[in-house]
Amino acid sequence: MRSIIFIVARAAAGAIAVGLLYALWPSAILSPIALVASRATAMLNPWIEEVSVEMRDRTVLMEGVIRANMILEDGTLLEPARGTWRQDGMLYATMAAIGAAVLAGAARRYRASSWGLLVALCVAAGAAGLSVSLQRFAMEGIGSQWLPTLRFADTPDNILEFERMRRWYRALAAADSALGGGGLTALGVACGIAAAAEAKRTRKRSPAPMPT
Amino acid sequence: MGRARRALWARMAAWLVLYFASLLTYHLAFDRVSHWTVYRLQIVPSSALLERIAPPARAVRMPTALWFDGVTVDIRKGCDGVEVWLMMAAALFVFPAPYCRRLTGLAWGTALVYALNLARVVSLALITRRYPEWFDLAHGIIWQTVIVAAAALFTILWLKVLDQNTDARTV
Repeated sequence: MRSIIFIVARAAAGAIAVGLLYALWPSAILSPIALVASRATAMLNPWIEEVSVEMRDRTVLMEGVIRANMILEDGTLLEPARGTWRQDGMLYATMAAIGAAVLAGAARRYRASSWGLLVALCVAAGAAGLSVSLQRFAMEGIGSQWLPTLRFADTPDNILEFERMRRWYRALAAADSALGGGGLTALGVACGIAAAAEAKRTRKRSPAPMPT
Repeated sequence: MGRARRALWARMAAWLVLYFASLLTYHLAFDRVSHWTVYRLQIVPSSALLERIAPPARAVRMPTALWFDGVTVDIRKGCDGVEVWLMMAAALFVFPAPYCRRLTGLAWGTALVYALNLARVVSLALITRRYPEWFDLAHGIIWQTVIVAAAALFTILWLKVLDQNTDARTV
């Protein structure tokens, strides 16, 4: 019974520490996640370039240039456009809090490397989630607000590009739904377990020499 | 990376795959099962609890929401505790343990997740009635962390996940 109380207390302390950090200094949690997410978005998304991120309170603002190789009806190439997308940081803070609670609750002793691993894994998982989410908003904006205002030439290349965009959007929407609907919390648990396993790694001592 | 650590990472990957597959199945089947998972298992007992805790206020039950003293609590996909239960059930299936231990773990874990989710729904209704400005924090961070961390820690300790996979190194 006592050990259960200690486990709950440790887990609560871990989660509260992250919660307080998020309440008092949200950019400490969100900035590294947003930075990695912006790099990942610029690298992976074929239509978004020159990505920059900015924190506004607890919201991540990502700005980028949308460039699609499509030809308009008058034969000119589509001009690139600038877009801004935003995402609330609560989900990523929750993921970090879950990871910290699992690590603090599951491990009795901690190593610096276990907390380092937790931070690294949470940043990676959070950045993946944030990048997917922001790309989804961006693609929604491109598909529903920007492209419908223009008239495109009926060329095979344009049709192929549209198809590519549609496939990309479907994959993003599926990934975003999975991550937003319980996936990121599961990743938070996985980060906590991995970090707790690192903390529990024991060094087996050499056996004492046998008396002769 | 040692063999034990590799085994732990492989099991975690298998757990995540199984969890995402079961989550997808649940999301696809949600409309067919929501009468049970949301109405029968969440709304009916939560409204009964609210009427007991805060009389004489009455709770009105709707298919996916409950109305309580001027407050409407919407129980959407993901608010019924099934996602957390699937996370726990997938871990109990993937990490090695005797079948008897897995089944008793599933029973206790189900009770834990269900009780916590009922407490969550009831407390969120009460918080929204008294302190609506606290709703986002309680709903977004506090309760989600409590339920997921409780289910995760229960599973880790019940199955002794970390003891099985401790990577002993000789120095």
